[in-house]
Amino acid sequence: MNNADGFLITQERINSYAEAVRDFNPIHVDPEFAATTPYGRTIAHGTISASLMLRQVIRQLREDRPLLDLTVRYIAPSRVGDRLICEATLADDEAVPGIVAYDLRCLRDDATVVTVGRARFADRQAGR
Amino acid sequence: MSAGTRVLRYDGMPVGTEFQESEVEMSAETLRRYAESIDDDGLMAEAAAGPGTPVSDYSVFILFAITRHVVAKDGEVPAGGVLARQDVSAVRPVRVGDVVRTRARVHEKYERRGRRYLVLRCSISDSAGDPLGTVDNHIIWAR
Repeated sequence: MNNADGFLITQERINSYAEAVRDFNPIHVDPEFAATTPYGRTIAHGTISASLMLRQVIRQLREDRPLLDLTVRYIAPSRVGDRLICEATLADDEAVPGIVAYDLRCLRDDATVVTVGRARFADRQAGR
Repeated sequence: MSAGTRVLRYDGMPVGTEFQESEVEMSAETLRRYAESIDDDGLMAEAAAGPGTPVSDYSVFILFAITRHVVAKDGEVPAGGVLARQDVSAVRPVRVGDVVRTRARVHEKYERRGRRYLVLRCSISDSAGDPLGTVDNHIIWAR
């Protein structure tokens, strides 16, 4: 399942997120500083993509079991103008009984994978 | 570590280094701002429901594990570092109105492909000291 409309990254959204999480790393909010980095311009907080991926599972797939853990790897930056699309699929290789796992991916609209992860939930029906 | 505003240096933080506790209130306003920034109507509703409401989305734990905040009483993180990975482990959800405490510790250091990584383990608890979870930040430290 994915959120087909995506989430448009704008500097205003980056600034708003920076205020919400109180993370004003200049690589996100200071275009002059960001121009001196290998990215050449400001990039969004990677954690925005983690939030969007988990939201995908909770809101779109209506997963309401208790989260056990979430692992996220930030692979590529997302920049102003990128549109992020998140996907969540039920993982078929989870080896632990009583756990339901989802593989998560967040992509830019140029198909670059920005973030990948796995979220594991306790399956109440299995008595955990 | 002792209080100060010095820039934190990779070589000056051996594994086991502990930082002074930081505190964040999971106020309805904080949650509302966060929900707005990621367009999450469900979180907006939880913020509006007021104190005591469990926050269903554990991504809010990220708010309590922002590297530069959880080490701020001991020093500044140099600009240019990048978060490479996060491992979140949940015990129970935070509730609107909880005062959340975070204690950070250098859990691991490693090098990969010429990059120096520092793993900062953030142990998150409520004001009574009951654990909410942990977040491990794998940070590519700025050169």
